[in-house]
Amino acid sequence: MEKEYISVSDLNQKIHKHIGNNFINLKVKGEISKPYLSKSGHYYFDLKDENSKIKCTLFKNYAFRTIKPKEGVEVIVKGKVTVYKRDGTYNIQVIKIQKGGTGNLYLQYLKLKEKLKKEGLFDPKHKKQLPPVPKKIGVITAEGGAVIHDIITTVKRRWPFTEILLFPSKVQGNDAPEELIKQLKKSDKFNLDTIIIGRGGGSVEDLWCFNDEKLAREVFKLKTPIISAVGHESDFTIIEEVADKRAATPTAAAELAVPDITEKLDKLESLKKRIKRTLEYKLNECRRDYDNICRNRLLNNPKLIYKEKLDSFENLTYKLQYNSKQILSKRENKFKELKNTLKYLSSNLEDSKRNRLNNIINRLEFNSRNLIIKKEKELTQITKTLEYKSNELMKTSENQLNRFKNSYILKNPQKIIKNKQEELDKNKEKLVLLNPRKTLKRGYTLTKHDNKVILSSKQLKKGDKIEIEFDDGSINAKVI
Amino acid sequence: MEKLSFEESLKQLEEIVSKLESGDVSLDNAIEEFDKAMVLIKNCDEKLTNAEQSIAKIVKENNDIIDFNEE
Repeated sequence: MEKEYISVSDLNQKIHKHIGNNFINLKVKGEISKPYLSKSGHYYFDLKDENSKIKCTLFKNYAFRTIKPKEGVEVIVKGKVTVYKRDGTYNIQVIKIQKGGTGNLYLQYLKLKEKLKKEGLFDPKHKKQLPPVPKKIGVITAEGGAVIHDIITTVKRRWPFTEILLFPSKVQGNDAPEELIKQLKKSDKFNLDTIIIGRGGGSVEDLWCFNDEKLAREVFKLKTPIISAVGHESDFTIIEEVADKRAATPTAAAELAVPDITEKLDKLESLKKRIKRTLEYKLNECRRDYDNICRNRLLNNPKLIYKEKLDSFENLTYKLQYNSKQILSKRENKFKELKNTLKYLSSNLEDSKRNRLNNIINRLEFNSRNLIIKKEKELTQITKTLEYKSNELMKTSENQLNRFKNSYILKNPQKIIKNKQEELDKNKEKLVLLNPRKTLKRGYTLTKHDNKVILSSKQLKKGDKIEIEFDDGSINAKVI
Repeated sequence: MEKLSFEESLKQLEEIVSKLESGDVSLDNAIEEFDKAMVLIKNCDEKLTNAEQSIAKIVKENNDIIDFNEE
């Protein structure tokens, strides 16, 4: 007969057996909560998500082989579920803890990021330009790490003239933010061209100091351009959002900070080539233009300038000659025709009349020929005369002009003035001699009647009142 | 000219090149610019080949600056 009940111990034993066979080789993801290290060296903690949690145990002999449980860290634990028979509870016996991404820390990070973003700390307008060729750069990182080594190696390879100043600082742990801030402030006073701040890769917790709010604000306040180089796999850190530039590795940061000497040498070489090429091109262009001008047919044969005109003139002359010949021959033909008609007509006439007619025709022919010759001669004569006259006219005009140009008057204008002056003076003398008053002085008198000078005795009659003018005055008298 | 920094020299060089390449320069002017460019190139070349190589330093707590030894 079946028992009606089993004991608590039996139940827990059964559960233990059942679970123990089914929940082995587990990987469970969750966030660590309330980790506790017992005196015996075992760790106890809860693994939780939004709705549920489970107790976990990490025994001492596993604890030193895996990362330590930390509050708020999201992890994946490996292990199996065991039942604690005494208490009727079950838990995960953890043999390994792996980073599982994000936990509370991540939420904090997001919150801070949002806050600083709202304040404008990440705004691109605040990002400073890195100087292209820095003389001096500062590096804030651990003194002994690979970071400084990588940066020195890279800078020496790319741009060995840049001076590197190391400002050593802790890059991990609770004191790290404070030290980083101190070194940031210090380096900002060293007249550096660029600052690199960073560390190598690590867990979220290792990088956590670079999510420090105060550090972020200090980076924002810097006067010197700064590059962040925090090694990581996925998520960014706050400092990278605030920095002027971010690099995934220290090597990349150094590459951002200094130029590449080979690149610059190549650039110089290419500039040199381009300058030479453009100058050569310019020279060729000028030479070509010059040659073209030299080869210009008008410059080489200036006659060409008026050749066209000459051609057209000759063409016209030819046309004229041709046309006039044409006209002449037409007339001649007509004349011949007429002659033939007359001859034909004359053939029907009697001999004596025919002879007379022929005679007339011959005379007509002779006369017309003569007329043409005469007219031609006349024309030639006219042309010649015209030519001669125009030449004469031109010569005369030219001579006149030359004579005029060389004339004494044009060349010696003062002489004319002098002549005129002399003439004037002579006239003046004459005037003086002619002055009647002068005569009065010599004893002559002037007789006036009715204010008119009397020139003849016949002008006066007895009783006329006259005025006799002497040199020094006049008297009135009467003719008796 | 001697006092120009490397990047200033490079910048001026680039300006000269684009000026020359624009073709908008007289021959005399082009030759003048060419001479200027050659001096700048020499200047840059010398800066790259003759410049003293720098040594990394460490800034100590008391602000002393000493050569940084990686060992």
